[in-house]
Amino acid sequence: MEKHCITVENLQVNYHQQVALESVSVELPLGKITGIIGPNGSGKTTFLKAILGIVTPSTGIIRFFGETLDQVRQQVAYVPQRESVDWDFPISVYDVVSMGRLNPKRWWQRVAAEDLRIIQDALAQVNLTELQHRQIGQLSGGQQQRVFLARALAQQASLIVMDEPFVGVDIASQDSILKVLQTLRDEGKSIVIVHHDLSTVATYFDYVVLLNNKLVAAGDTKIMLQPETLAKAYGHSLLFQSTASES
Amino acid sequence: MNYFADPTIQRMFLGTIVIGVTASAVGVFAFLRKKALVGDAISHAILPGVALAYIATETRETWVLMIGAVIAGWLATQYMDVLSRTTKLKSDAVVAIVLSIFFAIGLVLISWIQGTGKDAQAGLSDFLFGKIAAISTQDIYAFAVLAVCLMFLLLWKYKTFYFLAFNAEYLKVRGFSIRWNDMLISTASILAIAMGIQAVGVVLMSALLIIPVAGARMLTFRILPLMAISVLFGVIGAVGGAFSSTLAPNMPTGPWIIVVLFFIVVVCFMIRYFSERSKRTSLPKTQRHG
Repeated sequence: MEKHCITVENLQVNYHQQVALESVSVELPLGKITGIIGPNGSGKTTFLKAILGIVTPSTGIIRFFGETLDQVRQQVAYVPQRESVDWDFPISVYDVVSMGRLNPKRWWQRVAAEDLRIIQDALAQVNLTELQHRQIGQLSGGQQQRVFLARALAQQASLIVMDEPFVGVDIASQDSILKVLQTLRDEGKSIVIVHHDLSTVATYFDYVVLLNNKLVAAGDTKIMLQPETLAKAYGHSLLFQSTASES
Repeated sequence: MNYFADPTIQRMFLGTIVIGVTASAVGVFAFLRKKALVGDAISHAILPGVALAYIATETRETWVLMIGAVIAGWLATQYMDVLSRTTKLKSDAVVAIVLSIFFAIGLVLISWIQGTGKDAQAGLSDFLFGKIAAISTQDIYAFAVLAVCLMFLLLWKYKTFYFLAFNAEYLKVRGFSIRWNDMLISTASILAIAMGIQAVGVVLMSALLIIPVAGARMLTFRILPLMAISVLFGVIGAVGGAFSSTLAPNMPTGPWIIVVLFFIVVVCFMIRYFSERSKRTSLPKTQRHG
């Protein structure tokens, strides 16, 4: 039985002759909420995009549930960074969530009755049923993030990969997103989240991967939040700030 | 109804309607993909293709010139793609470069053809601003078949194209081929543009793709109404422009179509403006959105 949702071996990514990620090898646990943590420019988003094949890595073997991405694509849901989305695009909340039911193997992308039910369930889980006919730009930051979470839910994936889902989101929405994610984890799904805010790491994540253009450390949250490990990833000045704000 | 009994008039209306429908439907996706200017580059790039096709075959058969047009449009698309991938040029600069280079070559070739004295029967300069009267009945049949194929492609694939324009990375992760779908959309654009230039001209062709959907966007944000309203505007523009151009002798069709479309956009803008204002005044301050 495979114990990891993602296995990365020797992943290297170069951008214009610069090394964005240097030989990262790491295993992410199944059925846990994993945080990919690191300072700005440490290659967190690049790591996500490289394992998902959005960015082509120079080297590296990536396995999802022990298989290649092509074999398990429909099991992997990707939630992009909120800033990367064009919120003026003429599309409704419902239509974005319905993308979760797309199937590249189907010739005609029609929505069956079963799909309709799944889409409505996903909308209800994130409390967006009432707002489903709005254009996406007419939502608050937290609601916008929930639209993309609902799309991942509609896909019924076993692994949800999210890029900075808590940035620009109000506290109430952060909590409701976290609750949905915890429910999913308790159902046995794996969640991987790119995150930069150290102060919330302990409450959000079961497992943490520290990145700073290479792998600094990976392990259970309790072990990882020790000052020496954090200092290696963030440097002493940032560490000082984060401990000061906690006290 | 003596007016519509004239076969030239009939051809003109049928031709502009077929072209208007196709261009405005394909234009929806160029607009959504934020590639309005790419359409402009393609239409200008078609000119040297038409000229070379004429030089090579010395016939003015529409299908021969169409082949030249499509090859040139396709080459321009590839060239823009290569330039933006291999250089650090931004897409606006790439479009400007390709548009002007191809257009310049086209103008040089046409003036050379005119110099040899063959242009009297070729009338290639009509491609600059468009001359709908040059369309034959066979052309209209051929264009109608092509239009039906393109409309079928759009109705079949509109969801994929729509979602691709919105969030390509997500579709890539889901296993959709971005290259294949990109190729389908750009081929559809090239065909729609190549079909339209004889009537509207290379200079104004991209307006026929973009203006209808720009107007429709002010009225709706849903994809199917957006497509339907755009096509409706395309038809109104085509019919209105064709009719206006017959009011006085020797008036061009293409520019008239664009002028009519402009009035449609003004009306859409006013509808949008007043409906938003009435929404604002009817809602208390706290319930305002967007």
